[in-house]
Amino acid sequence: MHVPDNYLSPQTDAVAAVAMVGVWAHCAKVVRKQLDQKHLAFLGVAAAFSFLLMMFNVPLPGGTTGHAVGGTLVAVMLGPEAACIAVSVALAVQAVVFGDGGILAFGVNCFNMAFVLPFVGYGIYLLISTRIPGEAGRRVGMAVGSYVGINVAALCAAIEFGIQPALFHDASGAALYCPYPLSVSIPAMMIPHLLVAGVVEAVSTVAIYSFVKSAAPEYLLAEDGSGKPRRSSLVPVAVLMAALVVLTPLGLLAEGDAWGEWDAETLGELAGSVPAGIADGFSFDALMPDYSLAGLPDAVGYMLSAVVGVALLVIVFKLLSGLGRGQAQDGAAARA
Amino acid sequence: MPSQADKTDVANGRQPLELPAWLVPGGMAPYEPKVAREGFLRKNVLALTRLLARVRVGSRVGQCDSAIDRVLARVAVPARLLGLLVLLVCVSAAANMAFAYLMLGVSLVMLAARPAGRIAPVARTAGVVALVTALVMLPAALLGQPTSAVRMATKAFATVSLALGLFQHVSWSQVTSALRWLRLPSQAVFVLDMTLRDIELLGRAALELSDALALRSVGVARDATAGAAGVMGMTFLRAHELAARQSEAMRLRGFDGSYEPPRERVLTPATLTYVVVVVGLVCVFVYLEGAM
Amino acid sequence: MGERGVAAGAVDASEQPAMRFEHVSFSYEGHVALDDVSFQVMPGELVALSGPNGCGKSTVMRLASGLDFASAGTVAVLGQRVDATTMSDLRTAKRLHQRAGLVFQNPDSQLFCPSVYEEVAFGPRQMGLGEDEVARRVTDTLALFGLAGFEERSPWRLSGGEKRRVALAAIVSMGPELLMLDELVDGLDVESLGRVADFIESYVAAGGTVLVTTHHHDHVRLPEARHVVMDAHHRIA
Repeated sequence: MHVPDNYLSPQTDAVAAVAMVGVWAHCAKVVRKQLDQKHLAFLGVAAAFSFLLMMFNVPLPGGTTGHAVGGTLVAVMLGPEAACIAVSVALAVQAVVFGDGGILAFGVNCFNMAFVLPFVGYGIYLLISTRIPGEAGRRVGMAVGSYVGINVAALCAAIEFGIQPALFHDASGAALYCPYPLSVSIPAMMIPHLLVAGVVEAVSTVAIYSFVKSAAPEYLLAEDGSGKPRRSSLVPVAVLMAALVVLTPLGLLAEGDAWGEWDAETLGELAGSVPAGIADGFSFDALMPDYSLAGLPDAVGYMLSAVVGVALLVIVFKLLSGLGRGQAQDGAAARA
Repeated sequence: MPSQADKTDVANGRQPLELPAWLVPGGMAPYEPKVAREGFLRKNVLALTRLLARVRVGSRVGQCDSAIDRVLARVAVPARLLGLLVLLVCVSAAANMAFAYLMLGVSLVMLAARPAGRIAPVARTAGVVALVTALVMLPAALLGQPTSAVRMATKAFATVSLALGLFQHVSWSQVTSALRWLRLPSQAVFVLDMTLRDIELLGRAALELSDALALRSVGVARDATAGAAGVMGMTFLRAHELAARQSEAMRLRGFDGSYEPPRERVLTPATLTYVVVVVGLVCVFVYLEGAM
Repeated sequence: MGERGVAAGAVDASEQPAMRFEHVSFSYEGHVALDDVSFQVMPGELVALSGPNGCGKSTVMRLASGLDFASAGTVAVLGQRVDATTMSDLRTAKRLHQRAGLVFQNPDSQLFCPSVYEEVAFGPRQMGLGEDEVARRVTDTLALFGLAGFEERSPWRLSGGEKRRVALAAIVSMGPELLMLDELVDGLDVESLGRVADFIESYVAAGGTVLVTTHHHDHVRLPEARHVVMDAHHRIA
C-alpha cells in the first residue's frame, strides 16, 4: 500500500507530514529513553525484517499485488514507538534509494504504515494477551493484532485515495489526482488486504517473532520484566535474514502492481485518462528505481536491492545506537 | 636536583618573583570573550586533516571486527592488496552502474557486520569523501545530468570504504613486504613508505595541535585566515621533521632501504579462494560492461 | 591521600573549590582511564597529582579543560561545570580556557607559531588586547621565564627545557587564575626548573591555583605542594 507521488493532493501530503513530525518527535524521545545501545542496534535488524517483508509481493484477486509490512512485529519486539521509527526509516530507504513510495507522499505512507499500523496492532495485541494468559495468548494477540493493524492501515490509505476526486478537481469536475472515489477505493484496497495480505502479515509476524524469541530472546523488550541475562548470538537471525534475501525474487513472480501503486502510463490504460496532477506532477529519480538495474536480470537486481536495503538499515541503527557516547571517545582513541 | 645557588635560596627562604600586575589573579577585570562565527577555513582545514589520523594503517591489526574480517584475515596480504586494486579499478571504470552497486552492496554488508563503534570511523570518512565528490559533480547536475553526481558518490563511497576496511586490518610492514612480493622495486616502496608516514604523522600532528589551538583560541583572531594558514603550515613542517627523525631512527636500527617480501607461504587455500572470488567479480564486470 | 601542610595563601574553607571532581569515570574503547575519582583543589592551593604511568593523571587535566568529557560524575572548574552541554557554548568554553590554562606534557604538541613572540602573543591577541598591551605581556612573561631575547627564535628549534618554558609562557600570557601543568616539572633541566619553581611559588602566593602532575611521590621538587596520589587502578589511592 505504498502511496506514490501525485496520487494525493499536496494538501493531503502536507497535512500527513505535519502530523507525522509530532509523532516522530514523541517516538524518538520514548525510544531514546526506553532502548539501550544493544536494543537500539537490534532495531536495525527489526527494520530490516520489515523492509524484507515489504519486498515479498503476493498476487491478489483483481490482478494486483500486496505485501505484508511487519509493523506489528516490530511493535511487539521493541515497542510501538520503536516500530514507528523503524518502519519510517525502512520506508525512507525504499522511497529514496529504490523509488518505492513517493517522496512528497512520505508523510502519508509513514502515517499509514508506521503510525496507524503498529499502534493499532500493538493495542489489540495488548488487549488480547492480557486477557488470554501465556504463550497462546501472545500468539493469538499478535496474529489478530497484526491482521487488524494492516487492514486499518489499508482502510486509511483507501480513504486518502478515495476522497481525492471529491475534494480536488478542476473546473470541469475531472479529478486532479487519484480518480477513484471511495466507493471504488475502499473495496479495491480492503478486499485484497482482508483476504490475503492481512493473513500473510499475521502469519509472518507470528513466525518471525517466534523464531527470534527462541534464537535471541534478550534482544526483545521483555514484557513481564523478567529479563534473564543470556548471551545469545544473532547468527540464526542473520541466517534467517539471508534466507529471506535469497527468496525475495519470489516477490517478482506476482505480476502487476499493487492497487494504487501504478505509474502514470498504467493508470492511463486503466482509467482511460491520466489526471492532470499526476501527469505533470513531481518526479524523482531514485538510485535503483523499482529495485532493478540495467544489465542485471531482475531477480539479481531484486536480491541486490534487498542486500543494500538490509545493510543500510542495520548500519543506520547501529550508528544511532553509538551516538552520544561516541564523540569524546573517538577523539581520545585517536590520540591514544 | 636544584643547583647550589638554588639550595642557598631554599635555605634563605626564596624571594618570590615580582609578578606583573596583569598576572596577579583577580588583578584584572574578568575577561568576557567575544565570539564570532568561525570561518570555513579555520573550522574545516584542520578538521579535514584530523580525518587522516582517524583511520591509520594498521590501527586494527590483529583485531577482527566481524566474522567477515576473520575470514579475510586468513588471506595473504599481497593477494588482498592486488584484489583490492583490481576491484577499485573496475568500480571506477564501470560505465554500467550495476557493478558499482554490486560493490556498494559488498562494502555495505562488510560495514553492517561490524560492531557499532567500528562502523563510524570508516563510514564517516567514506561518507565525507562521497559527499565532497557529489558536491564537485554538482555542475553536472545543473547542466542536466543529475544522476552523474549520485553515481560518482556511490563509487566513491564503495571504493573508500573497501580500501579503509583493508588498510585498517593490515600492518604497514605487511603492506610493504606485499609490495615487494608484487615485484615493486625497493626504491618505490621506500618512497611510498616515507609518504605514508608523513601523512600519518600529519594527521596525528593536526589532532594534537587542534587541542592546543582550542585551548588558546579564547577570543576572536584579528587575522583569522592567516592564523589558520600559519597553523597548517607549522603542522606540515612539524610532521615532516618528525618523519625525517623517524627515518633516522630506522637507519640507526639497521634499515638500509631494502624491504623483504613476506616469509610465509602466500598461496594458501584461503588465498586461492579469494583470488577465485575476485576473478569471478572481474568476469561479472566484463559481462556487465559488454551488456551495456 | 597524603596531606602535607597547607600551601601559602590558604583560603577560607567555605570558598568554592577551584576544581572539583566528584565520582568521575572516563573510558574510551573499553579502556578505563579513570575509575570513580573524587578530589578537590581549593583556590590558592598548589596540588601535585602523582601516580604511575597510565593511571589517568593527564586524563584528569583533559577533562578539566573540556577536551574530553567524563562518562560519569561531575567535573567543575572555577565554579563552571565542564561537560558536553556547557562546553558546546563557545563563549563558556573560551572563558574557561582563558581562566584555566593547561600546558601539555609534550611541548611540541602545542607550539604552532613561527616565532616565540608570536607564540606568546597568540593568546593575548585573541583576547582583543591592543598591540601595546600584547607587547607588554609578552616581554613580562618572557622575562619571568628567562627567555628575554628569544622573541625572534623559532620555537621548534629550541632545546627541550626552553620549549617547555615557551609553552608555559604562551599560557601564562593569557592571565589565567588556575594553571594545570602536565608533567612539566619532571621534564625540566636544572635552570628551567629553578625559574619555573620560582614562578609557581610567586603565582600561588599571589592567589593563583596550580595543579601539577608528577611521577615523584617525594617532595624534593615541590616542597609546599599537597599531594594527591593515584594508583595503578585509575583511582585516588
